[in-house]
Amino acid sequence: MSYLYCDQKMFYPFRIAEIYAFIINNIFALIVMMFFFELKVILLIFLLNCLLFWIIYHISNMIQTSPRTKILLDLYNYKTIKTVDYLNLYTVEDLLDHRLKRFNTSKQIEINNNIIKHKKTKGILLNLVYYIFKLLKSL
Amino acid sequence: MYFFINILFIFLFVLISNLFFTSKDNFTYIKIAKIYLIVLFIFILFSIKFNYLHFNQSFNTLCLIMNFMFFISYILIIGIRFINSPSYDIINYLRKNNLCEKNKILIYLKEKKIIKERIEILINEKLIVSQNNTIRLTDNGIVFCKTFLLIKNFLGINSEG
Repeated sequence: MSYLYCDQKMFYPFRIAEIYAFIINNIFALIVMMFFFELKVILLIFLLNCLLFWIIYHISNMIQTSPRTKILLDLYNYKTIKTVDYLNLYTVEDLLDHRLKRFNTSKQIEINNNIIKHKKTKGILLNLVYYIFKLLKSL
Repeated sequence: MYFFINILFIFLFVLISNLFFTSKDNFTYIKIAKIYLIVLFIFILFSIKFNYLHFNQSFNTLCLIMNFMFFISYILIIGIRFINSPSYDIINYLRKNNLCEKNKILIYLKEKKIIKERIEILINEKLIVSQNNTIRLTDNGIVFCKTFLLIKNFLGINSEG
């Protein structure tokens, strides 16, 4: 429902629809659960909701931005294709353009006449996600 | 108690898989999923044997669901340990060379052979097969694509790459 209402608007790196769905779902679920379950079950269900949110975020992010998923979905359409032909169809230029567009909309960079400037100040949420990924990478 | 046992299980699983999968050459998603399912099965058997798991207690069942969801979350992010996301490479390049031309980033990315490297990983994962300079999906790849197409259409998102 929230996808129908909010479309694909982003509050980078999340979609607004996902944030609304997460908040509304948790508020309603927590209110209802208070009447039926003890605290430890409520907290566990809240943790499960957070995990579900994290999983949906990653899957949608994977579909939208991952080159490997794009290659697989392209191959599903092409059935069989010469490797050289495919490397001409999906190029590094496309990959860079899409990423620069996303960085630009999230105000991470500024583009002026093909000159790219990296902005060092980021939002709290973006910083948080960046450091979570850095932490996970170091594990 | 069972909650903390599950957390300990996940923690140990992550630790052991990090020691086991040290490079991208010996890592595949199928391998890690198989190992997890086997270890989870043994874990459930031991939980029942030592009276920690009773299926009539919803809390314990929820703990097992949590365990599985932690694994799904882990498997979705483990890939970044072995291969950098192009976004990560671009941002790192920009941090070192702020105010640079688009062409320079393009040259840097071309040197890394990002797309070719990913095709090789997919071949290693047995999701695609390469024969006579052509590539096509394997049966596993088709299942993967059908699942992702379903999710993609449900969420209404485009695959940009």
